[in-house]
Amino acid sequence: MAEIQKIEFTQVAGQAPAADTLRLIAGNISGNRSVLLVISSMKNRPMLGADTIFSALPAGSSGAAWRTIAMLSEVVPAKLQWDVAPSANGDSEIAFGKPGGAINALMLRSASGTMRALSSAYPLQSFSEPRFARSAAHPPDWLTAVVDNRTCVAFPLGTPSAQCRTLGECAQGLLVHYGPGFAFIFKTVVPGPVRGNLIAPGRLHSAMLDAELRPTGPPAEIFDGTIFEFDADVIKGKLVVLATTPRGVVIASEPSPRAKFLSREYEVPATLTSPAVAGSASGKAILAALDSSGSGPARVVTTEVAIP
Amino acid sequence: MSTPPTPSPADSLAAASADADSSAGSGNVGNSVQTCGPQVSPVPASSPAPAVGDLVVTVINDDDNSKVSGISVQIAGPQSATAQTDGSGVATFSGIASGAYTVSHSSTCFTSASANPTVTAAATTPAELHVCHIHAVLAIKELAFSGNNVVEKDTTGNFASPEWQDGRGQADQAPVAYSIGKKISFAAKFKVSTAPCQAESVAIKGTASFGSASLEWTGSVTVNPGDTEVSVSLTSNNAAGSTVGIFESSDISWQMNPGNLGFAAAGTTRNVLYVTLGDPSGTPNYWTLLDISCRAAAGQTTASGVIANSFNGFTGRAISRKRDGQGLTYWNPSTATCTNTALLLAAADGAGQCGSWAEFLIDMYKVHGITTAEKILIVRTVAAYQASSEGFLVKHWVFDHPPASAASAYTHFVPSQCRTGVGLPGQRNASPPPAFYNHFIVRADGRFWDPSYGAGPFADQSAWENAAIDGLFRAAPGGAPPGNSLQTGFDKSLNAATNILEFWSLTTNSKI
Repeated sequence: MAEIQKIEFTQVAGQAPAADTLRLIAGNISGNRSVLLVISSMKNRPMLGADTIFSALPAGSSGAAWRTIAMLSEVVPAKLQWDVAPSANGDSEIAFGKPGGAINALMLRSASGTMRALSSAYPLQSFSEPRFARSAAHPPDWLTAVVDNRTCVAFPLGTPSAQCRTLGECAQGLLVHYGPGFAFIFKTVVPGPVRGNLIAPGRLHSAMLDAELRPTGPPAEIFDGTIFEFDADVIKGKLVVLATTPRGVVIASEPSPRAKFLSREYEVPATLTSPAVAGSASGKAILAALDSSGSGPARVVTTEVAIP
Repeated sequence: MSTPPTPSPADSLAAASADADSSAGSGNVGNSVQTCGPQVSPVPASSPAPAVGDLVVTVINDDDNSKVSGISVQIAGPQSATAQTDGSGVATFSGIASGAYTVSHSSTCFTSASANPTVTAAATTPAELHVCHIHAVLAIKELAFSGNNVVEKDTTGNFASPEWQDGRGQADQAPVAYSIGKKISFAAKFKVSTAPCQAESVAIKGTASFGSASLEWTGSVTVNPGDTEVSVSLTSNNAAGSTVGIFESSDISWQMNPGNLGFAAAGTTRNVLYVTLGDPSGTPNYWTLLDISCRAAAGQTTASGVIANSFNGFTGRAISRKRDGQGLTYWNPSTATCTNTALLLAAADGAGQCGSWAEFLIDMYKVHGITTAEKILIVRTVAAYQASSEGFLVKHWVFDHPPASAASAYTHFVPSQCRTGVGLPGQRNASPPPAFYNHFIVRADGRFWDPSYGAGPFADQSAWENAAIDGLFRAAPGGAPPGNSLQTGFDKSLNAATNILEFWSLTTNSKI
């Protein structure tokens, strides 16, 4: 990967709701190929439960206002873990762990508000870190989640009540449509101080899977250093991974399946969480994150870089 | 009659001096007697004959009162000279000018010493140098424990060896853990502050008291010239503990005995020592778990005793994390995504869900080798929580009576007919959420324990339900009156129901 000389994140214009999680989604949303910033913020209800509000803003827009796209009301108040993806009908759907108190079920909420429990076959297991398989070509067909904080599994979205498939032991996992199959990007936790409240340090790995999610080779480490969170997408045919590190961010790219990852770390004078990456219509990489530096709510920051 | 004046001392000295000068050269000084032998020519006053004598220096080792042979003795004064002591420890300086001398030696094997004899002309003047052999001087520098169960610093990594190190603050010395009956072993490294001039064996001894147990470590180490540090592996003569316990202020006093002259102090060390029932199994040896349980279950020798007494650490609802003092909390809505021990110990705010608290208690037992505790899931029914259709209300809810007429047991709307009162306090949280779809507790030793609330033990399901919940909630099938949420209350006391929930063992994945 050619060296990117400079990365400067800038705050998104306009007043964003106090965000706790951020995602970037790219796809044909509302009939247009676009990239959306989606954030969530939680608000406790007076006596019972909490509401999580999802707001979206087109990436790169100036002067636009954040638009509420969904709200989830829960009896048990807790910060939701979620992901968002464009759906087949050009809308968006949200996957989330439903707080039960002890066990979180894995739920899928359609744009119309219809709920579907993906984890109903696993009533005694708790699900976290839901992530839709990333694909620029079509709506997500798989959803990954971590079971009981130990094992990453994948649920097929096209088959109701289907059994999940085990991908491996990790704390965070993401499938990306890549080449003839998938790249499985995952983080394993290492001891050390957390970032924010509970983002554990870890190591970043990738494994190539076939179309049936069977491994086609051994896992490889993407970056020789500690990372906190990551996101990945395929941009102009290249697998691009963005991860936060103690110093800033690392951008790694794989020119082709099974080629060696090229990575470079950049210092960022801010405490970033929820890193997100997506390809823009022009083929550049849009990077976004929450900047938790200083007091007050986290700020949404973005930048755009070319991936040669 | 007149009395002649008494001469002053000064006048007397002046008169004597005049008398001596008038007689000089007459050969009558001091009434000397001519003896055998050649006549000695008078020595002119301007060049008197040199007055010489002998100096005999004996070097004595005060360690054992022996004479020291073969060391170099120097004299400085009217003359300077050097001589080696002979087999009797004597150095002789013959025919040296009379006068005051300083005597010393230059051996690096003995302590420095000096004497200040005055050599008298034509006489043999004795002198003694009292020295001591220079022995190794050691001071404890490091302890690297072995046979211990390494303590994990609450998800930030294991405490590193050496567990004790000179110069490190006491608060930063690592805690160590051994199970009951284990002797304490370590590699002890000593700093050599004085090295001997030849190889020397030094006996080492450490002593400590851990409660009623007196421990001693003995060994020896050879110290060579030029050594700056030496190490020796040591094992205690006794086990540190015969019961579970914690020893926070037990020092090991170190002594050394070079040359078998007697033991002298060589420093002290202190590590917090945890004694567990058994070796940890199935969990990292988290510091916080050790500290709570070894403190609360001190004196216990059985699994039942550890299970029951460790829980005393939960009932005060004031648990703190050892590595940073952060209070651990049951449920912070904004952050409570922790569902196991590691996450609870890692979270900056120390807040976790009931799953983390249940595993926290189970892992606390596991650090003592007790692996029989079960995680228990409480639900209305599995299907009900999966469908988010029914859950339970945690005490205390206030129900208005009489209830509205209803065919079902769900008789009250929330909040117009029932509402939250003063809730059951959880760990460092006076008001945890008042309703859940599910909850984790622990079954151990045949009883139920609810660590999230510090409540228990409960003999059976009914006892837990009576202590913990006031009823059930569900989505109102036909909607709710304006101003009400969609849940309706179910007054457990009105319906005199028992065991209205299901308890599931996650060990067997079966309903209890």
